[in-house]
Amino acid sequence: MRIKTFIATYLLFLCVLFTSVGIVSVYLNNSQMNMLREQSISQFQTITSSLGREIGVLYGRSATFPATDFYSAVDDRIRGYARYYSRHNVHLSVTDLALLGQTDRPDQAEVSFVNRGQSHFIYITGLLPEPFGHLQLNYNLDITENIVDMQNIQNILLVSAIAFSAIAGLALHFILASIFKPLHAVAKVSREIADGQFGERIYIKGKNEIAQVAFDFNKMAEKIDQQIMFLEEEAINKQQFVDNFAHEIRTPLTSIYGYAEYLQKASLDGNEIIESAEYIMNEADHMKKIANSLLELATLRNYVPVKSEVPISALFEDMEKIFRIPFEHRINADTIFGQEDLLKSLLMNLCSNAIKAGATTISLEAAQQAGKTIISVTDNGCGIPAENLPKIMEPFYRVDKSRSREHGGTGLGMALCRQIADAHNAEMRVKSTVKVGTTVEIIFTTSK
Amino acid sequence: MIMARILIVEDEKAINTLIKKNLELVGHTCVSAFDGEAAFDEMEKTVFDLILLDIMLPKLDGFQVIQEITEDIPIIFITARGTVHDRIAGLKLGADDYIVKPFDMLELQARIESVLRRTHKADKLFTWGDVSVDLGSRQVFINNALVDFSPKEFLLIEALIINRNIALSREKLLEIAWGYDYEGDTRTVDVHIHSIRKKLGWEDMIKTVYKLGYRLEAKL
Repeated sequence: MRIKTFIATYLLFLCVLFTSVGIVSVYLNNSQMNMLREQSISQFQTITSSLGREIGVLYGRSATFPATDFYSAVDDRIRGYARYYSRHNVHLSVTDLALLGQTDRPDQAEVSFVNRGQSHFIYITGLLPEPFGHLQLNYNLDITENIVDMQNIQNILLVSAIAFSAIAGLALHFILASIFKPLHAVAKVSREIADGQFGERIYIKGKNEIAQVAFDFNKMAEKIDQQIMFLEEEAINKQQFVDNFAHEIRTPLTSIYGYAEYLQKASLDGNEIIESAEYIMNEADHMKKIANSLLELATLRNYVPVKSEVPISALFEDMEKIFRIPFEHRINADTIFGQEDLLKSLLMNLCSNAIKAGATTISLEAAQQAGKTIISVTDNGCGIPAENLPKIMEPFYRVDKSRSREHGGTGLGMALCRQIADAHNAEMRVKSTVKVGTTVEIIFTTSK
Repeated sequence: MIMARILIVEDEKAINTLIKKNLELVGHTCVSAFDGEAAFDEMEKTVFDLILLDIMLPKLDGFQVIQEITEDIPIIFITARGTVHDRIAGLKLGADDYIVKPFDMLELQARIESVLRRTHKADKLFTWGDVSVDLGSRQVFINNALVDFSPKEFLLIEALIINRNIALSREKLLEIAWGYDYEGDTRTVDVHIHSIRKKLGWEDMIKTVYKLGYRLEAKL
C-alpha cells in the first residue's frame, strides 16, 4: 500500500515536473530564436536602408567622378559596414546580381537558420532599395554563442529538475512513512488482538483521521475484551456449576449405592436392614429435592409471574405457621404486586437460611422507600464472611468449605431466591457481619 | 488374624456410617470422627492402625490434618476431588493411598488390606477353628498339616477371607482369580468353591448368596 502510493505519487510528480521543464525550455528556445530573428531582421533593414542611402549619395556625386571611383567608393563603404558589423558577429557581403546575370530577383528578404558543424547562423539575403535593386546584401549573423547559452540554460534546468525530483522523492518517502506509521501501529495491534492479546491498545496522539480510527479501534478492542472476559467468566461459572452439581449428586449416590451393596452382600439383622434402607430413602429424598429445585430454577428462567396484590401481613403470618416459631414483624407497607406462591417460596427460603444460620431472633420487615416496597429478613445468626458474599447466590455455592449437608439444604436456595427476585424485577441485597447476623433486602421496583 | 483399629474421618454421616459398617463386618474396630478437630480428639484417646481421611472437612481439612499428624499411622485419603493434581498433592503429603468417591466397598476393603499388609499392621495368618490360611506364604493348613491348594483356589479363598462377611459376586471372584478379560463361565467359580468347601470342611462357612455369589461367614 505504502509502496504503491509512493510509486503512483512519484510518477505523477515526475510527469508533471518534466513536462513543464520541457515546455519551459521549448518556449525559451522559441522566444530566444524569435527575438534573434526579429533583431537580425531589423538590423538587416537598418543596414540596407542606410547602405542604400549612402550609395545613393555616392551615386549622385558620381557625375563628377569617374565610374571606377564610384565603384571603389561603394566598395569602400561596404567594407566599412562589414568591418563595423563584424564586431557584432555579423558577416556582411554584397553581391551584384546584374554582374552575375541573374534576373530572378526576390522582392523580399529571405531569412534562414543555418547550421554549419558546431556553428549556428541566421542568414538573411535581400536587395538594396531601388535604384540599386541589383545589389543583394548578404547578412550572416553568428548565433552560436546564443545557442550555447540557451543549451546551458536548458541543461541547468534539467539538472535542477533531476535534483529536485530526488529531493522530492526522499521527502515523499518520509511523509508517507509518517502517514503510514499509525496505520502500522493499527495493523500491529490488530494482529496482537487476533493472536488473543485482548488487552493491547493503540496509542496515537493528535486529532486527525487516523487518531480517530485508533480511538474507534480501541473502543472496539475494549468491547471485545469485555465480551471475552464476560464469556470466560460465564464459562468458569458454568464449569463451577457442573463441578458442584457433580459433587452434590455424587455424595448421595455414593451412599445409596453403598447401602444397597451393604444390604445385598452382608447378612444383616432386621434393625440393620431398616437402618440401611432409611439411609437410602433419605439420600434419595435429598436427590429429589435437588432435582425439584433445579427444575424450579429452570422454569423460573424467563418466567413472567402472574402478579396480583399480595397482602404483606398474610405473607408474614404464613411464615409463622410454616416454621412454627414467632418472628418479629414490622410492617409499614400494605401489599406487594407479585405472584403469591413465588413470594412465599422466596420468604421461606430466606427464613430457613436464617434458622440454619443458628439465629435466635428473626425479624421480617416491610417498608416503603421512594415509591419502592422493601421486604427484609434480618437474623442474628452466624453471618457470612465478606469474601463469600458475592458468590452466595450461585447455585450449589456453600460458605462452609466442607459443603456439609447436615442442615439438609440443597445449596440452591439463594439461587432460587435471586431467580424469583429477578422474575419480579426486584433487587436482592445481602448485608452480613460474621457472628452478628445477616440482613437480606428485596427491593421491589415495580408496583402494578 | 488381628483386626485393625481404624479411624474414619468423614463429615458426611451416611458415608461415615456406611464405611464403619462395612469395615466392622470384616472385623476391624472403627471410630467415626466428623471433622478435623474431632479426629485429633479421637487420636488422643486411641492408637489407630489406619486413618481414612476425607479431604473436605469442616474446621480442619484433610490436608491440614495429615500435616499435623506426628505419629506414624498409615493414611488413606477419601475424596470427591479426583483430579490428578489432588492425588499428587495427597500422596506428596504422605498419604499411603488415595480413593475417589464414589467408591466400591470391595475396592476400599482391598486398599485397606493392602495398606495394612504393606505397613505390617495386618497379621498374615487367618485362623478359624482348625483351619489356618497363611496369606504371606500362600499356604493352607488343617491342624498344622498342609492342604494341597491350586493357585486359583488360593486366590478365591484369599478374596473370601479379606472380604469375610461380605458377599462376593461370581463375576468378581472370576475377575480376581482368572483376570479381568477371562471369558470363561461363572460356573468355573462354583466348581472351585465346591472343591474348597470339601477340602476345608467349610460347607457351612462359605454361604451361597441367592442370585449373587458366595460369602465367607466368620463373625468374630
